[in-house]
Amino acid sequence: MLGLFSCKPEKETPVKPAEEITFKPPSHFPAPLYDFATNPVTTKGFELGRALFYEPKLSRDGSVDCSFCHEQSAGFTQHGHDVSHGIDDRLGKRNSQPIMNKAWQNNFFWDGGAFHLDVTPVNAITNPVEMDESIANVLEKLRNDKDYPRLFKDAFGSPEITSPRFFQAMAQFMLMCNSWESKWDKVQQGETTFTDVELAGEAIFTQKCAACHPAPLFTDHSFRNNGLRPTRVDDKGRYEITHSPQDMYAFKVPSLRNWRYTSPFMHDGRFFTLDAVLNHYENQVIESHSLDPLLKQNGQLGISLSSTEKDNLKAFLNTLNDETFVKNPLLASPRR
Amino acid sequence: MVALVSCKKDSKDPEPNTVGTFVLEFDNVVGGSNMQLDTVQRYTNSSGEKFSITSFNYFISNVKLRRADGSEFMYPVHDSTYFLVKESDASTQEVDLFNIPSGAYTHVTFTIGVDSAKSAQTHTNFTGVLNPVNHSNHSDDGPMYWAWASGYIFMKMEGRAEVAETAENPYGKFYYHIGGFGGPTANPINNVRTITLPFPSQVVIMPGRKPQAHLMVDALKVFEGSTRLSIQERPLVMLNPFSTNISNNYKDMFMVHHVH
Repeated sequence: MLGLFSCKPEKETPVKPAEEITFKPPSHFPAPLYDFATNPVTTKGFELGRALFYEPKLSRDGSVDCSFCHEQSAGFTQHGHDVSHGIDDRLGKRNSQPIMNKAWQNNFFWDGGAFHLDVTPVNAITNPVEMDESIANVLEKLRNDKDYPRLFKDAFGSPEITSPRFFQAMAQFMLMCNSWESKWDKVQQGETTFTDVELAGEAIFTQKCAACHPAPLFTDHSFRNNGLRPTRVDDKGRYEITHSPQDMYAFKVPSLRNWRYTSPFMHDGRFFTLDAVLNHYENQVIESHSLDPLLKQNGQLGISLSSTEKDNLKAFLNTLNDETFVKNPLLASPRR
Repeated sequence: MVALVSCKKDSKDPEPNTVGTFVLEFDNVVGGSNMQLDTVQRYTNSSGEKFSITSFNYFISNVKLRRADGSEFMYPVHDSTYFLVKESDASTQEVDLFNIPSGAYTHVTFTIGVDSAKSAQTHTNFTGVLNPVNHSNHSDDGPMYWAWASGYIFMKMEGRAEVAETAENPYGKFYYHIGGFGGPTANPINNVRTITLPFPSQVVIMPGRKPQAHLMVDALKVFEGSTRLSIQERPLVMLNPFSTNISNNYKDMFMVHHVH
């Protein structure tokens, strides 16, 4: 262990849970979509998954672990980066999304290309601009590691390190990365109340935003073209998966939870502030055949807000930020 | 067991309630030539384009055998009965089918690719050839799995063609990664293809014998059929509606040449 002097003792060892780790959402959340029967969350499975999430051996040269693009302090996104960069400083073309409330999704990535949580790590590990490794190599490295055979044995009963176990453990960690303790959540549980400004903001939100960003997840998980002007990259989003014309330039509606930590915004991170986002909706929505109809109502493009409405709305949106999520020691990097 | 065995196939009826083994041998060819994987552009397609093949793989699954009376035996569907035939690996080109009820069979049916049900469960398909473990950009043959659009590549052909050489593609590399199972939510790209092939003569399966069907798989058919595929026009086809034209072509590339 470390020496006697340490300024931040809580970073020395991983927090051992006082009780068994179980997935237990609050009453105001809907039933999850993930089939836990195929992969129930256990304490040891979670701990293994956490170790793997923070394990740089998942990358070709041992420099990149999952937290490289999914930093807890940034709501499990890559802080401040418009598009992610991975191994060798290679750039991707999209903004990293938060690992947050994943049990309620049944497709993943900005274009919904992965349709089960368990297989999402395959993309990050094998993508040449992310970790540029093969699963086979990763498993071999783990087998030769002094700790992982024991961690796999603790989680699964025997030291065999196989790909089903690998993905199940990772999923168990990701399934526990949940945010449901924001002020908004506390209001739902009756623990506190909104201020007048926040209430006014909520009314605007309900009227102008909630069709795409409904509570409690603050996304409806649909794919929509929200009128962003295509760039030279010409990322066609969902269209690249389905090739349906209505999916042209459509991207998954992101959750608005923890926006304060996950900036910048949009699939390519082009907006760094909430004001820039609101300005887009007010002034910069581009017409096209696949533009979401909600952004083209009564012959008007976009969403207009007075400056008072904007202030109220922002006050409400502030209630969606959940500090306990970004500070939860259970989800932090373990020391080995 | 069988007592006296004669060389004529039909001279002894197989005993009921016994099982035997049957082998499907996949012999990949290019027109009338043997297939050789390298960068020498020795083949010519129906568009007159010379090309080489550096990779040629396909999944075979959901095998069924049909008897003369029309009844079918469905080979059990497990992870282990999905077969990945790779030109680069001779050991994959012989597919052994075990415990087939003894009898006389006239046709074989199989799916080229991974059926929708299995495709939709990629998160549980972690055994055998369905395991994305071997999905690597570093391996010689590359992946048969799409991480970015969870699913399998049913047929992969890669190679080089002079007609495809451009500034961005100086070696004229072409890539046909044909997959897409029409799901999990409605997706127009469905390249799962099922074909039925007759045996030139009845195949008798019984204990103590190991009949082998020698299939010729003509890679030239990737380029022709209902749609002519030109490498110059389309050097890269992956998850794209056009891919269904290619699978409609290659579904006809199999033929049972003989059985022994």
